[in-house]
Amino acid sequence: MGASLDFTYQYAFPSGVAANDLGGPQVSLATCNADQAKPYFFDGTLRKPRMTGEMLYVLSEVVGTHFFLPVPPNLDPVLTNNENLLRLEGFSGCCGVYARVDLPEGVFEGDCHGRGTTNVDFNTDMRAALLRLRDDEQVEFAVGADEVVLSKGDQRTVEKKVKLPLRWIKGFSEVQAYMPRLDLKMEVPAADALRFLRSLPKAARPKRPTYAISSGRSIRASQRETPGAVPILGTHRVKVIEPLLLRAKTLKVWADDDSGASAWEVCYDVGSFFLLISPEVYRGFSGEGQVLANLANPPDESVVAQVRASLKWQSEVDPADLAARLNVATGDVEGALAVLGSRGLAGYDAGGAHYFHRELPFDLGKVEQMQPRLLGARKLIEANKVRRVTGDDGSGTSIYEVEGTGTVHRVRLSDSGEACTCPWFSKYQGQRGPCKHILAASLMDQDIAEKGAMQ
Amino acid sequence: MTPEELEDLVLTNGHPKEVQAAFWNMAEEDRKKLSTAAQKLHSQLSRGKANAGASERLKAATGNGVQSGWGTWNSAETRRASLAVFACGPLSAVKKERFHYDAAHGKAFAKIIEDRKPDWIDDWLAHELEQEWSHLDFDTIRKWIKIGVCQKPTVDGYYRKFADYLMGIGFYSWNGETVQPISRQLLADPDLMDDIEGLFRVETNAFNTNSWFQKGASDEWETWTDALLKLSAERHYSRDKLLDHAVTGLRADIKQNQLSGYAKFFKAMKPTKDELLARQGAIIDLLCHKVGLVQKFAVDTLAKIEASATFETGHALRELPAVFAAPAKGTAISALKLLEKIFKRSAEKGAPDAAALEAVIEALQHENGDVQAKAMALLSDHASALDEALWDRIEDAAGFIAATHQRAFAELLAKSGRASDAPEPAPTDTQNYEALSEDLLANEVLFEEDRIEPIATLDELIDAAFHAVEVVDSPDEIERIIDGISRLADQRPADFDQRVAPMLHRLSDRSLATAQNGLATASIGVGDSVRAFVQSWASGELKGPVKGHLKYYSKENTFVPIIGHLHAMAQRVVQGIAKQPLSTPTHRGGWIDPLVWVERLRDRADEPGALGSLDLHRSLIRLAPDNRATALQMIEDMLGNLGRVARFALGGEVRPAKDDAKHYAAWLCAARSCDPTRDWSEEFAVMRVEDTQPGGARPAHFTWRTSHTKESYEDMRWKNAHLSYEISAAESDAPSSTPAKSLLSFGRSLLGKAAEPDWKSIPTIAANGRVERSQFGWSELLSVWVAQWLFYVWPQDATGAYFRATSSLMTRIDEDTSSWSPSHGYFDALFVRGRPWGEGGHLVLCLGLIGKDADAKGLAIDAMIEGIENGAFQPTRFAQIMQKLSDAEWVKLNRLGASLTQVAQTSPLHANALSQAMQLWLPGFDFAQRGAFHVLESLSEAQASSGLPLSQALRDNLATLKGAGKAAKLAKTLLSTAN
Repeated sequence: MGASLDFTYQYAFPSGVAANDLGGPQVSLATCNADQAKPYFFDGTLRKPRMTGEMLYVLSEVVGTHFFLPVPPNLDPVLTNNENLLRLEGFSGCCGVYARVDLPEGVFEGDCHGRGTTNVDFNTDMRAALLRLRDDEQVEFAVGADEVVLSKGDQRTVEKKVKLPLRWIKGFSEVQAYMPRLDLKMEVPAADALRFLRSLPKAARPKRPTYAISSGRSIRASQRETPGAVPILGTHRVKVIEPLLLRAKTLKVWADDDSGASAWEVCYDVGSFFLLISPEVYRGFSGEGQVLANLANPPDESVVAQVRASLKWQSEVDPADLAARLNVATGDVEGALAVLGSRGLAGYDAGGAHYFHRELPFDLGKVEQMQPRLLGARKLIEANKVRRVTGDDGSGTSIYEVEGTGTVHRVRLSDSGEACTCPWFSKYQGQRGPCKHILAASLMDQDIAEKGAMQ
Repeated sequence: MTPEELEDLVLTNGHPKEVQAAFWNMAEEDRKKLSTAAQKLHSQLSRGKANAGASERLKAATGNGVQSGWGTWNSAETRRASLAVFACGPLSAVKKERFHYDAAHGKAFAKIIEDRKPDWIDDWLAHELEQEWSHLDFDTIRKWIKIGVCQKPTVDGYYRKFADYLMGIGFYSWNGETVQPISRQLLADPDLMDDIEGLFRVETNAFNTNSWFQKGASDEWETWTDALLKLSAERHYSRDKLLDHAVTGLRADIKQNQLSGYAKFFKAMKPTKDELLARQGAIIDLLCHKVGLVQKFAVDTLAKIEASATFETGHALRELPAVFAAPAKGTAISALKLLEKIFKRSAEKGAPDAAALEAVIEALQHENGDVQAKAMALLSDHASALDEALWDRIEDAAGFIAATHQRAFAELLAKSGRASDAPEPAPTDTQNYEALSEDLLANEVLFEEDRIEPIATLDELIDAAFHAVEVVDSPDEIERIIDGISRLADQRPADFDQRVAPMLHRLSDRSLATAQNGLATASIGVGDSVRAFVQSWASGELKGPVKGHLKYYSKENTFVPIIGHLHAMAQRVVQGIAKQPLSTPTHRGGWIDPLVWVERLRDRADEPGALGSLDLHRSLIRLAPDNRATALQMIEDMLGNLGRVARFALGGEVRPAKDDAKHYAAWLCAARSCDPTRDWSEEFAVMRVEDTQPGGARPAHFTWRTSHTKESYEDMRWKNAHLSYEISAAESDAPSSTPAKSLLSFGRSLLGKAAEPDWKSIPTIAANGRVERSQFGWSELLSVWVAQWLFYVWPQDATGAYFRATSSLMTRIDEDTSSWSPSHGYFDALFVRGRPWGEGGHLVLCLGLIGKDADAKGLAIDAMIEGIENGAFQPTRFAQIMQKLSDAEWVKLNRLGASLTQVAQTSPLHANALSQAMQLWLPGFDFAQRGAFHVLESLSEAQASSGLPLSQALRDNLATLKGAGKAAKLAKTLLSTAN
């Protein structure tokens, strides 16, 4: 097992579905944060209990699953209370599947007692009860509990000591780098989507990617890569949304052609379930290095700080509006949001094409330090193993030599993209982020450019 | 005790109890003083390396790092040091220790703990018991609990030990003592009865039914189920509690085998109706469980009590729909039967329960057609009780209904008095499938989107080569690199060596290579030759294959001319001579546009030896059928033998003359380009060359057969499938001008005929040669791109490649997908548009459809779908091949059925093509075969979407099906629908 942080979920009570004073069901989600605060966010009723219950159940399935090892993780989802929108996010134990439940206003009604992000307890009894919620009953719903309830102390507290793998926290942040790059590939009726998912192999699974392709106005599985095809490696990871399609309206399929990541959004009349899967079963999002370029070449830290200070749990952050208010360029705000996303301080909604404010309730101070490739790049510079061969002579291209194992690699930095002669880059062609040689060359290039500007 | 004395105690070869004795009665304060020394001692001994300031004795004992590993970690000294840590260390130190002692050390350890009664014991026990494979004895734990050393642990590991220890798994007798029955052990130590509840909460071996548990056990040995049944029967343990525990256990989110154990235990208890009714609420809740077997348990159990007056019908109806969201057909049918009974009962009281009708409507969304059909039948029976809202919900389910049931669904909706939104099958006449001509030269094959863009610059070439060293994306990419190297061989800028140095470093050290599909790991056959070619270009020195011909791998004759060609090119490349190869394909699939080819050829007009070059031979058999007439016109003025060969290849009137025998290979390749399947022996007789090889002057003829052998081992029975093929030179329809072979060799000397041409220089003969298969099964075709390339060497006629593929596919026909022996590369060729598949292609398709390999099967389904769209699929060919395969009685019809159903569901056109094929195949099919109903399910799907009438021959065969089996039912439905 890799590096991990000891973390204790301390809940004032176990989440669950119990009978309320009127005899109807009451869904209570227990909350706790990294500082052991137990926020009380919401109290009201659900308008779509069955749909909500099923979505939360599938979310808990994702969070409680390691998709390639038989080691069920004991991690909980994260809930953010934005303006008129509750979002629950979860990340699989293998760090390759991200799930988000969006519950907008139409799904519930009630009183908002606060905004913010918190861990929420998902336990076995509650999970089972979620599937028994029905639309014909008045279901009360609370996130957290007020002081009066907590002070009664008549419920047992819940304490779960877990090891949060660093790659899990890192991946949870890194998925936000994929979101803005997703393109909507197709939207199909739920019945067609369900037929498609049911056609995916259950037992004998393919080792090569299966592709979701448009077939008329429908969708079908294929083993061939054709234009517009959405790759899926590990079809069992997508099948988790199968139960949701019985009551959904449509399925939107998103993909990032460069990386091979795909997203599957189950859309209801109101509300949605969003599932993002990594390009391969054995590749978690943490190792993808998609944020490395941002971390290696971040926008000015003062802009990042200004943007962060402007985040007030908005469900939708408009970069142009923020740029005008802060008197900085829109591109800088977008860059700052990407950096904040990679630090777990903002999420991205691909459907709405906007960021939203949420802060992962973990110690995120070391996210950047968790990037081994960036560390490797800095070590190469410190050891004087990076040398500029030719600078940008107006052609937009710089060449660097970087010492590798037993050979010297050549790095080309240009406006059309970077390239390196190392096996990593040769194999993945940048699909899994830049290699440490490119990062080292970029850092040096940036340093040279800054020094040049100062002179 | 001083630290030195402690070291002496640990390093002196004595009994472990001496350590225990040394610490006996020692005050906790004194123990703490020795803690650090004990930990350091243990740390150094276990890692086999002493610290700098360690004593000479300790240095000697650790072996100074020479013997580090298992030996030092497990040495007697290390174990004694470990005991010392337990005797004086804190929790943080003992948590690093795992209990791994032998009997003597184990006894000493237990005594040390009993003497010390450490305050950390509960924490350490919880930690130790949660580790995988804890060796701590359950007896020891029980003793500690009894004498007050520790509390009873609450962690799961305690219950796992409890379950295993009382069963005595693996140790049914020890020193002559047999393990006592569990019930007797429990009665002897009644406190253990309290732990029984844990067996239904924690995953243990208690209710596993592994047969090996009982091997070697005595007659009185009991399973936990036996024991608990006995204890409850004898009233030592509450029967109610056991039933409650089992139901509670079934609610857990744990492994299926564990849940299965609880369900079996509950059934073994044979609960009475009253006992079931008392727990019906909890059992009804189990309907929402995500595990199918628990849902089945709940449905089956509820079916036993549904007739009771106190049955909670409302509660059950509320949760039953959850069953229909799960894939299990049997459980869903059972649930519908339960609903049917509830209908009957409610009908006796008046109208059917609306909640029951709602539950049935949910079943319309089930993935299995039989479930949908049963739900429709139930709704149809109670149509009069459906209100507008329920009809709306039924209409909403239209998209979920299988094509085979759309007609029944429309009939159901008709009862509402509304118009149906369900899609009607399209009229048959507009969806009639027609296949392409099987003439190899009749169809266009060049499509703009398939054009291969040549590498333009040296930068691009270097980047492409670097990538191919790690991963070869496709044979087209290899062709581009070979072409690029050949054309840009004269470009070696000053920094060239520096730029390619990492690549040469990578290629020269095989230990660095990791990717199976890259040139860096290519070590045999054509892959190795491509690697050597790239290495020659990058280094400027001629490189050969690393290992040459190995006896351990199968030599693919098809690639032999390419290997020769690559070596010839490498000799030129290292001299820095650039040249455009003739044989570089212009389009995907290995095709060369004849217009581009004649332009390339003009540059070779004056080149000596051009007619003998492998480059020319390879290029001739890649000429596309498109643009030949125009290309012929363009080359009318080309002088010399090269011009004559070119015009012949493109369909000109030119024919070989006697003097052309010295360029026999070129003329032969030109002939095969002109017409790949024609017998050219008459036209070629004038050259007086003895040519009897398949693919020479006479085309190759393939015959294949299939069978199975029955195998058995103990109780297991299975079939081994076989498929073999023969290649021969086709006999001409016309009276042969060539005498029999035995006479040929005699006549050759009299007539002055030349000897057989060297097949290594004639790609058409090489491509139809038998492969010398190695007994080790290692093949260059294990690289996917090499397997794909096999079909593009002679794109005009890939029959030899298809049959070669069948050998590989058959070896893995019942095997899962493998990264080491991938099969999917053989299906790439089926996607080359315009090229007829022929018998070989259809055989590969069929083997893909019936094989187990998910990658191959997926591609075969795609190929069939696309083949129907572009006309390559031939219903007649498919029917003939399937007839032959199914007659051999080894085909897994379930796999075939699932594949064909997917094809049928694609569109009415696909259903039409499949219907045509199946109607040609099935009239002679033996429906008594196991799993025949899978084929009929596919036929039903095809018939429902295509609307084609059933042929009389097939109707007659279907009518022979009798009985109540699935196949008979389907046949009946098919016949009635057709009527």
